[in-house]
Amino acid sequence: MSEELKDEMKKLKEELANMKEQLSELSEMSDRLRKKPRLFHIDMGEKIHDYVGDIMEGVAEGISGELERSVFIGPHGVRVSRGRREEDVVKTDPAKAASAMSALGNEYRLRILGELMYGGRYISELQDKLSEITASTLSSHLDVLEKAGLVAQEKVRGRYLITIPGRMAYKMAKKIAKFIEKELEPE
Amino acid sequence: MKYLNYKLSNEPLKIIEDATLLKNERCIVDALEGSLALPILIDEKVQGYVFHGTGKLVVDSIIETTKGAVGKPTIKDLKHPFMMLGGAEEIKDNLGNADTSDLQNVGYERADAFIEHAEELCGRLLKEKHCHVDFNGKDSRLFAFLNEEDKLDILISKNDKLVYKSEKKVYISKGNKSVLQRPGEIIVSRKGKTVIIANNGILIEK
Repeated sequence: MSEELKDEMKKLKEELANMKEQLSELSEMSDRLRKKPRLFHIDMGEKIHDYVGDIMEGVAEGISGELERSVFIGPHGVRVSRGRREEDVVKTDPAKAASAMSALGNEYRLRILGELMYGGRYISELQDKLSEITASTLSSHLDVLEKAGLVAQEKVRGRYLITIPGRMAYKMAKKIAKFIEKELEPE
Repeated sequence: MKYLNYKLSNEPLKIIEDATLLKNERCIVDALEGSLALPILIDEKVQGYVFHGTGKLVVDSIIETTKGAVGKPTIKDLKHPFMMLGGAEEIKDNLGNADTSDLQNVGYERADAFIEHAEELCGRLLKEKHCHVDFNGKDSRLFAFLNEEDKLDILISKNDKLVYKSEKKVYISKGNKSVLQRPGEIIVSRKGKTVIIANNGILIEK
């Protein structure tokens, strides 16, 4: 018998011994469970039992999930939500998400959003703040933001306003930038 | 009240110069050159017109909240007939007599056809619905626009008060108070405080 075969046999014997040990542990556990008194037993068949179990589990998860995400009491007010936001996020088409993100991928557009966080602005006011870009460039950046739904323009007065998604996107972009900056810091 | 005693003129007019029928901080209604206009008489006095031709409606149906702006401006080309009550005096210089070719440009063979169309529109608003227009108030206007679904969109304006109701949205504004109702959502804003009631929850902002 070659040395290689001997080693293989040794390993198999060890594995067999482990399995025997695990089997004896399992049979002890099973004895303990059998001896434990049960209050009642309703035989509904495995499928019904599983089904009821699933429902109970779902209800419990639902209640705890709702409590966690549906009521938010913060300094700005109270929010009661029955939306399933996590599911919505998962369902979002990556192409649509990328398109929304691309509107944020520009320094000037982020600066415009930052300026609008303080309130509605006329284009002349935005131009004063971003004097290093031309009026037509500013206008095209505003178009991109408007098409992405991050900014809305009042058509009568002409003021630009940041929308709810716009505020969320701006805050999110800042948070991501801060997080990445921290991660890239040398330890 | 219902204006049961209104009359329509037999002589169609036309817009000879673009007319701004209403303009304030939140909305603009324009009737463009070449559009037909039929005077509406209440108590034997011209109190409004039925227009048909080309026009434009812009309503800034947006509400500003501390969480961001909600809503979009409403911009509509007015291709279907619409009526205006109030402000009749202010546009009389923009009107001239319409002849057969003016009627044909809008799609009517004869004046009767336009009058009949105008009568139907006026009847739907003035006979079937209660409405009130302060004809003495310089800034009071009531518009009824026939939309694509053959229903009436209503716009009422008086001083800083504005009400716009269409198939898909209702927008009400008065000073710093606004209400916007659109599919699945109602937003109420008053002096910077906002309540949003939506399909996915309620947001109350202090």
